Amino acid sequence: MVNKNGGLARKMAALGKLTKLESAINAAIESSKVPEYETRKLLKARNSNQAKNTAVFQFIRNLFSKIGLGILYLEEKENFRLILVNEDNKVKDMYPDVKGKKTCYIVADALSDFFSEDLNIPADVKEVECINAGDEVCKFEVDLQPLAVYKIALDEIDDKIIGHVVKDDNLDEISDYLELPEEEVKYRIDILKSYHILGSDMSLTKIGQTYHKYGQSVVDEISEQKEPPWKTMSEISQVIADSDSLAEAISSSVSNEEEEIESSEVVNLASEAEKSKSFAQLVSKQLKKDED
Amino acid sequence: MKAQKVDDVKFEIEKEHRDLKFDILKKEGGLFLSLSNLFFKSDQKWYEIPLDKLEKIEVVQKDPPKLEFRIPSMKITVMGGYAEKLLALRHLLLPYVKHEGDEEEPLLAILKLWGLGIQNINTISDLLGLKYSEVKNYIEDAENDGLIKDGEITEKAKRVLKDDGDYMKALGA
Repeated sequence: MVNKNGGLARKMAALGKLTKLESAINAAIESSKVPEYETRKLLKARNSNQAKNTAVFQFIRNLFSKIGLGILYLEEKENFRLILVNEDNKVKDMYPDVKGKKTCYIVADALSDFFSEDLNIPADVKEVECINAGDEVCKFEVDLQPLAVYKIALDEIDDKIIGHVVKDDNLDEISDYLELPEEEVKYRIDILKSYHILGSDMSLTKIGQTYHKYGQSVVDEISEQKEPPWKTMSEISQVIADSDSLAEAISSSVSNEEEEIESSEVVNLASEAEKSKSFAQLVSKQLKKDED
Repeated sequence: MKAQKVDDVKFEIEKEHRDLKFDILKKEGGLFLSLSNLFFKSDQKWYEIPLDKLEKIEVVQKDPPKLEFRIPSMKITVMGGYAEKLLALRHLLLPYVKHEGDEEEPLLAILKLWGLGIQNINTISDLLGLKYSEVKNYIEDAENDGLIKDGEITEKAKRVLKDDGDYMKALGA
């Protein structure tokens, strides 16, 4: 439901604020590449409590707060899915004339861009609850692409463990071969089980077989890439501040140009489309008639 | 009607019906926003897109951004101008896009009547000009969505309806 008494000035002010946010999001994402070993810690976290204490999640939280999108709280963490609640969401206030609908698309898109571009994990993000739609909070569901998660979550040691499992080596033998404490091997095996690479009986699952056959070469390829520097928050804050000045200049470039529109000068495209639809229907009927 | 300029852009208007595409109009001019419409102005001619007819707003090209606005049987592609502004416009207008299955308005009207104690399906269908089965479905949806519980509208429903002051007054809130 859209209340049309919202006011053009309010709508233009919201457009100005959104333009600033777009600018800040672009600048922040451009300068925030995260190293894969940090992303791996987030992906390997077994629950939301572990995940929210990782440096990457703290970084996301800080980044989104600096941009001005709100403060993110991690509610749930599964292997391929995160549920985030935006506390102190400023975006929802930009749509005072919209009720009964979700509004915070810019937050969902920024999360999707951050995961895809800065963490190298393509993600489909949607707002599943919104205060403007009558919900208690603004909540976002982040669906991570499984293949990308496998590529980053599992490292060289995990691959070696999988190799030993294929050879039917037991826990003690794997621990000896890799010269790793048994506890660490056990912890890694539990993670491989949670990702359905290994079954509960330590056998390789179908996913595990596919990963063992095709996935590892990709992992090697990725780990050879030079990891980008993880910039400090102060540098990123400066980039965001600079983007704000640019957005200010963009916003003021065509501001206050208001025009009065006479209805006689207007072509309503929706009505035109309706006419063309009738015309197209007429043409296709005629063609069908000719064919008969 | 008043409209405020957003940016200078290039735009293309393409009519389409099933597989038939025709009348591609390529223009340059101003992109304007009014309370309930989007306008393009070129050669003293105004082209209007009513916001309530919008079916989709997509980014079809990222850099430089190209936006595609869809209304029934028509596609309007917009490019040029400041990238951030175009993307911001999309985010501003997305809540106005009519998604399939969007039926808030009859649902809200039903919730209002329900909250005022008018809970007879026949009466509601007469008042709103809806079929008996439609009203029944809306009520079931409202119950499933937590908007009606134990025969009463819930706090969630009241939050959705809170902007309508007269209604809340009638409800004694």
